[in-house]
Amino acid sequence: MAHGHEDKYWPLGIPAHYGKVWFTLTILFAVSYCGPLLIAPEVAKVAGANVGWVVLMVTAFGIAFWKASLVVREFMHLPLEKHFIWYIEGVVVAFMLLFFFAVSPDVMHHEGRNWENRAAAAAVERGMKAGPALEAKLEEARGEGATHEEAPATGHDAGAKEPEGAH
Amino acid sequence: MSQPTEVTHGAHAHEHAHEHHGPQGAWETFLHYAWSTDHKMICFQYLFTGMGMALIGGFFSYVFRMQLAFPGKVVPFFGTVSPQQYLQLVTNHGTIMIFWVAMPVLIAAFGNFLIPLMVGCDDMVFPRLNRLSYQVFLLSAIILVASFFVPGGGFGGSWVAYPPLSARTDYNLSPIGCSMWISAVALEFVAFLMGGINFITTAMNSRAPGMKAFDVPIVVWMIVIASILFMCSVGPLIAGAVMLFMDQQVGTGFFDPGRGGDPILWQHLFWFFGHPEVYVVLLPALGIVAEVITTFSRKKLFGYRTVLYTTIATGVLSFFVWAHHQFISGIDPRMANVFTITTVLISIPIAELCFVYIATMFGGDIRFRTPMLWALAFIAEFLIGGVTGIWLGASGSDIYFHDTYFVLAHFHYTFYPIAIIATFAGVTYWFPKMFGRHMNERLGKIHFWGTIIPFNFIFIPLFITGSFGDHRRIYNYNHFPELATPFLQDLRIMATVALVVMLCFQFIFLYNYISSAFRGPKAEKNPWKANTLEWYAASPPPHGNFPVLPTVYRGPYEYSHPDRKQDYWPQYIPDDKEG
Amino acid sequence: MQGKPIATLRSASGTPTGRLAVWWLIASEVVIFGGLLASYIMHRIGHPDWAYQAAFTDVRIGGFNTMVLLTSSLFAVTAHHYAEKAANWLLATVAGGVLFAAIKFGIEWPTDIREGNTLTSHPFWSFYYTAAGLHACHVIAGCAIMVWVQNDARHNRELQRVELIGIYWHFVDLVWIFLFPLLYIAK
Repeated sequence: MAHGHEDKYWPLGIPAHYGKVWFTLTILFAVSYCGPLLIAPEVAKVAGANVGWVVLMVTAFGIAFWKASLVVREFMHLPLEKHFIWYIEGVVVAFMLLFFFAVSPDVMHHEGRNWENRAAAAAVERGMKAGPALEAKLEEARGEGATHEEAPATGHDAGAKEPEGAH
Repeated sequence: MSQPTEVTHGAHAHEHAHEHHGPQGAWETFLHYAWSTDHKMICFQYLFTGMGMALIGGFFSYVFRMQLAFPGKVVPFFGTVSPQQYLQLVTNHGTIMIFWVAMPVLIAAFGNFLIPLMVGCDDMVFPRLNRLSYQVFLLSAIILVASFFVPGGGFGGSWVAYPPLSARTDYNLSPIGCSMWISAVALEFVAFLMGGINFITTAMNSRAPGMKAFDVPIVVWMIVIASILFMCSVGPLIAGAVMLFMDQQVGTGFFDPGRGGDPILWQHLFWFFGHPEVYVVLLPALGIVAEVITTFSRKKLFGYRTVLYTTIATGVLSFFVWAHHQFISGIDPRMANVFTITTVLISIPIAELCFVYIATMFGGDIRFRTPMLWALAFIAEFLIGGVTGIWLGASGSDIYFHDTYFVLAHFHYTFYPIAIIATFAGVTYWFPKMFGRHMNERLGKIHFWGTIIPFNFIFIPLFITGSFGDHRRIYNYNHFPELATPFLQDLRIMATVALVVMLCFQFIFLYNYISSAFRGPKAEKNPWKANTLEWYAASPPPHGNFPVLPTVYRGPYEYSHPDRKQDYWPQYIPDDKEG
Repeated sequence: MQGKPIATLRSASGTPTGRLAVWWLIASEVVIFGGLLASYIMHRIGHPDWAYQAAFTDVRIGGFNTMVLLTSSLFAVTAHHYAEKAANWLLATVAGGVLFAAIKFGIEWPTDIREGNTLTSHPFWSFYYTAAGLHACHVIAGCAIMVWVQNDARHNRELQRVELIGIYWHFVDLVWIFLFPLLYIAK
């Protein structure tokens, strides 16, 4: 297997190039771990809940996409494959986006033009009411304070009215 | 990569198999056929399983139509039909015909037989995966049939299995059967995913030297594109099937809105697959018809690239139309607007394909042999089905027609040509190659007319009753005063009588098929004087298919070429040779 | 044992048959996981109250398992680098997969169940166990196949399969890269 990279090796015989990719992945993982736990709450305190939420999303999911692209490029060697393979994978990902964006108006929202999903709205109500009790249960179970951010961090204020990002 | 004169395992008189052709016990013989990895044998496994399941599905249609025509009366060979049994019959009729007849016969059987032969290689690229995919498929068929015999009987929640009826066993009253049903469907999906990878990879990689992309016969393209459509659409439904199974057996609430789930999610998961699925079965049927009409018109396909690109466009577009099955099921009306436009749009490429086929025949030297009759019937009947779909694709008119027999007649005018008519076209066309013998032409024609004429007398009445308001999945119309009129009941009886007549004519086919396979007149290599590579192999082809793997010199439809004395020019003959 | 058909050895598309097939397999898996995860995301966004349930997932265990899988992916691609010594690197990858499953089934899920968060206790947990469970099945299947491939590779047979199972394993890692934030971080 011809590699365009120099043949340096880490201990244990791991090729240096792959080792570096692994190291980058580890750093990214650390950021995505610490982001929601440490960084986002601090930012929220300074710049408000919505900015805090954005930071959380970027650190959690933005980094996920970055890690994914590293794995696809450096481990699966997709760029080395013929173009039609890129298109195959690209098309199925596109179909999944199509599925999400076409179905979410019905499933993600609980009301629309001339319809409302009362059972789901009621379930959300019940869940929100039961929330604080669950937080207490979590504190008990885990000992120290539970998660730092307010539990419904994904926009309690944004939830009921405006559609979330996807629409 | 591969030289022109590759010698196959077949040429070495495949020792593994032939060794055992001495004194062989019954068990060894059985294993030899049942455990084979030869794509042709696997074709027969799928074909005969599919035909067997068709007998079951056809029997179910006989029973429930008898109940509709003569409500409450004893149905010969069955007994009285209870409401629950009625729903079980219609549910499993639909499920069987689509998943255990149309798909195995059109894709797995014809795909297995034709792809390696038509691209000029010796087998599928993964023979053992091929065998495994049939075994998983067989298991799925066994589970489905077994579901009829468990306490509670088979699943009766319609083939679309909307929750909560399908998710709550206290509603569908078949606590074991409903889970066996969904498990069988999920296993069938897995079997076809495995098979699909085999077909796509074989067609992409194993082409004979000289066979460029546009030299591949249309039926191979169609089966490959169908496999790709299947693979890209079935995933969400596999996830949905797991969720439904858990709702049924474990007590989760994926589709229960009171517990945070959503039944509309199931509808979307199902139809995101369900619509491409109809093109998954349509495309191979169109491919078979293309092969038959070119051979029997002695004429080139009117527009090879047109057909190919149109098919790809149809395939892509088929992912954007699915919610037309859900117009009145609770989706947002704004979504209905979008899907009306896309649905009506998709009729254009399909209509164009039909026109291309007609143009192919125009001016040709047409021979009305049995396969050609079936191919012509496909085009005529499918056109009726397609045209009636327009009313259903427009959300406004669909508000009236949804869930009536109008829908049912529409999809039988599309599915029946796909699953039955095109199958007969393919079976009669490739019979000489598969079995080395000819079917009886006169019996073939009698069977043809005895199938097509009654077929129309089944479903045209159902268009009418549907327009008058007959709802689907009703076991007795006497319960609805405005539908219990003599006029409508006469139409229902007509449909039932026509069905019984049509089913009786199938015995002629069975007799013809079986007796010709053993005692028909022997067939030569290329009795229809066709161009494609499968006719270069012996009839039937041995293990390894070709003693010397062929090289390809031209496209598959070079009929009546001006530079040539004979009216056909096989792909495997070099340019300078005559005949 | 009969040899491979000539069909398997041809390559009109330019990509070897095995690798082409694996990429098609990946495509079909993308659609399966994609459908499941899209369904989850729709529900999760539409039900902000699920955040209270989601708070119970232990991000430390999830994070540790993420590192386990990332490291095992490193081992898999190293196996691909070494044609002959691939076998032991594949076993190292398997070890990672087994550790992942052991932590999940031995520590994480029993803890969750003890705290009352079962498959049926709440739809968040239904999705959680289904998605993580489906992923875990793919981890286990991948380990089984890797054991088989490393045995062949040890005897210098079918070395191309080392790369192929690697691609599959990286895909399994990819799914987890998305599952981790979805189930453990976005609370």
